Amino acid sequence: MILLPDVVRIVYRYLVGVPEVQAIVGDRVYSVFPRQLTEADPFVLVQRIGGTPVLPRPLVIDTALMQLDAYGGKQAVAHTLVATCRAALAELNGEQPNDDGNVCGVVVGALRYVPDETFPHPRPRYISDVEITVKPAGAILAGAA
Amino acid sequence: MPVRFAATFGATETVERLARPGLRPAARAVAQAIPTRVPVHTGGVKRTYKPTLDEQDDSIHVHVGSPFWHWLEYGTQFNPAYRPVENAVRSLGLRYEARSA
Repeated sequence: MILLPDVVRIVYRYLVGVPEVQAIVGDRVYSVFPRQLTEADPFVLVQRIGGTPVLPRPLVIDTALMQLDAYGGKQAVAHTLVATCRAALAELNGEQPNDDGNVCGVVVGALRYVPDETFPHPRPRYISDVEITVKPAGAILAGAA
Repeated sequence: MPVRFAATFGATETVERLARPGLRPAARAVAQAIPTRVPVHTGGVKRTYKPTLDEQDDSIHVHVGSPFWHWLEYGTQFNPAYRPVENAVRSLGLRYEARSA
């Protein structure tokens, strides 16, 4: 049985290993909202918001709609962070970032400035949509050499 | 039988004119679908979703009606991004296009 990869895990593990991202957030890349940080700590949150497999059968290629939250610090830090993450993800086309799965394509989508108003002082945050197409690590499609 | 193709000018306007009768039903369907995509805990947030239609010259705006819509749509520190508006549009087989803002 071939399982579709966990796209959140792929993106999370990839971003945490990008030196330019590390320079801004260290290892603060998460898939659930972190509770232990101060409001000055910038971080990245990776969420899957939707997406369907390209074909229902065979179930070997998935297209995930992802939301990337880049929290500042300050607004400028949040913007640098989201721009860095978008650039890093845009370099993923057709490469295999880790054993979790193979990224076949990345479409970087809309960018919005949506401060998180649920903090006492609305916290600067940029949100980017990203569409990521993946297949299981090691899966070979018909016609591939 | 041979087929002959002839150029037709004003194709964009023609398509827009043909599609125009479907605009209002589509907008109404989106407005009806949005609240159904809002997650329910106590129902308080869902009740704030009261979509309305705002007809323009060549388009129809669907206003969500909730002051909290962006919390549900994009998430906060207390909840993930549920995207009820986006999911409502996609659930109807319509294409969702987001613009940077």
